[in-house]
Amino acid sequence: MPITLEQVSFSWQPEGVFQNQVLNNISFSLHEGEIAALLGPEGAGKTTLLQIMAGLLKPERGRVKLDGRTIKHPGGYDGQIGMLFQFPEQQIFELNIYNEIAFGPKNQGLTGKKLQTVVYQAMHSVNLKPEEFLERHTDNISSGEKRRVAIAGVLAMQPRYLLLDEPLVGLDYEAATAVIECLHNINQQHNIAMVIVAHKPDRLLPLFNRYLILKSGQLINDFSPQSALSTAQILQQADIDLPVSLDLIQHLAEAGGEWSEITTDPDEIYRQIAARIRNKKGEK
Amino acid sequence: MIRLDQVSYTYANSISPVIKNITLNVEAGEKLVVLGKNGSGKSTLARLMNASLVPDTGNLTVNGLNSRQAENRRIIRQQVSLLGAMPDHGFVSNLVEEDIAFGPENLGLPPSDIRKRVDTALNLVSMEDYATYPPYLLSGGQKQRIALAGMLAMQPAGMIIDESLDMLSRRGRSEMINLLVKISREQATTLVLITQSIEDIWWADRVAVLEQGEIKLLTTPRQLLLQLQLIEEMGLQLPEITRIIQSINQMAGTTIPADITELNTLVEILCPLL
Repeated sequence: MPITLEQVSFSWQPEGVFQNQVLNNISFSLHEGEIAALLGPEGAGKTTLLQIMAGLLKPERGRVKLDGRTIKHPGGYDGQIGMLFQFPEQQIFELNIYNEIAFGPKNQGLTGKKLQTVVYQAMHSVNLKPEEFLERHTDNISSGEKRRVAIAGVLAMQPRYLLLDEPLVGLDYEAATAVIECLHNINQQHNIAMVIVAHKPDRLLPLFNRYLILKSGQLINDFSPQSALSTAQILQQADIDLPVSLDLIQHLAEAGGEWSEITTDPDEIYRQIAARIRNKKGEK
Repeated sequence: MIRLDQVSYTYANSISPVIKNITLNVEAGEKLVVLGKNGSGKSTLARLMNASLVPDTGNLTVNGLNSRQAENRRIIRQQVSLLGAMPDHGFVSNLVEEDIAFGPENLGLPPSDIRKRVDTALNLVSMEDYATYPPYLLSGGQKQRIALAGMLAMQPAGMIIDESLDMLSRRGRSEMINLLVKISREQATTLVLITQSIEDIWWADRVAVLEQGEIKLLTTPRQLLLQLQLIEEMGLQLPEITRIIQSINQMAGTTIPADITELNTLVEILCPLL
């Protein structure tokens, strides 16, 4: 069963001096197993939309439904929707990793063996070996590991949906690779649906099976990627910076040649280009 | 301008030094990129450079002023501004324009000059429409623009940008970097950009690659690009365009030069091959 947004609008300070509409009449459903990119220019309302979906902000107009039931109060999801904030490791407050990850499920009322099981599972999902990390101090791990501890803290609440706000920002290459792998695993193993906000989505492209495009608070496009070229064209129309791989396909298509069949996976794009170069060499 | 002589630094609660015996001279007007992965000591180096931290051993001087002497630190911080990654950590006011005015006010400037500096700074970062907004209503990228405007309004002689533009879009980030480079060229300001990404660094005079608290490599941006293996060994991410060239060269047996930085140039080379 999905999360459904029905005609959701939101303003900060609807009656105040700084009244500005952040979201305008947004409707869509997120289904199990989907990984949707939420893309849009700076200030388009991406973070606000995630916070409304997470139940942290109440829509000014419209409804958010989970499994057909309207959510009335902020935070009323009982952990079914997990949210990872920007720079989530800044909110780590426990001294050791076990307690940090156990904080959420403990508050859901889990104790003893059950609590231990969900914490261990969450650690496995983000590739942190319990025997190595359980007792470690939360200050004495790398920033990539901290980010994964934060993700594990959300997963330990056993959410069915995961909302991630810039999950790779500030991470170096290896740390980002580890996070990408764990997002892939979480989706594959537990069928958890995700919405991922990323202003530089290059490395996440292979994960996305849906794109939600936000501009000035409006959902101007909602599509499943058919090909690299068509995705590039839609993103460009929406004034979103193209990932380099899609930009390349767009350039090559403009220069002539048939590129419409290639998927949005950057490595696949480069393989296809290389294959065509090899073919042409072979003809000579 | 900023001179480090065998500088080492260890945090109070840690055993191993974060910065190990670094000697480096950043010339006035120089544009330097400091590159390194998470935990390599980049931010510690930045804090040493504006006297927010003082070396355990060795000396750091800014225009001849040693950061060891407490009375010098305030002057050093006025000359060298440090901008961090978290704009929320630096906001002091409920209004964008007041926030930007805070620095110039503390310089004791006349009100008309302060007004001028605030307006100019907001224009430079393309945020003039948000002068009377509270910062908390802005997006991550917009907040980073405002934080940058706050630094520009101080007109410092040296600017250290510590991963402070990471929430901006690709285009927004390169606009802001172009702006900083332009200011550095026109006003001979020293610019130190701290980053873990090898994109957008072609304007730099030098690149210092930091690994485990030591400078592993001091070179030019283009020279760096020709050392692909070293970049990968150090766990740094190649620019996407370089990764494209590398994959195609490997898979198709081509010899496209690795130091191409413009997509248009790459497309011109690729088209006849396809």
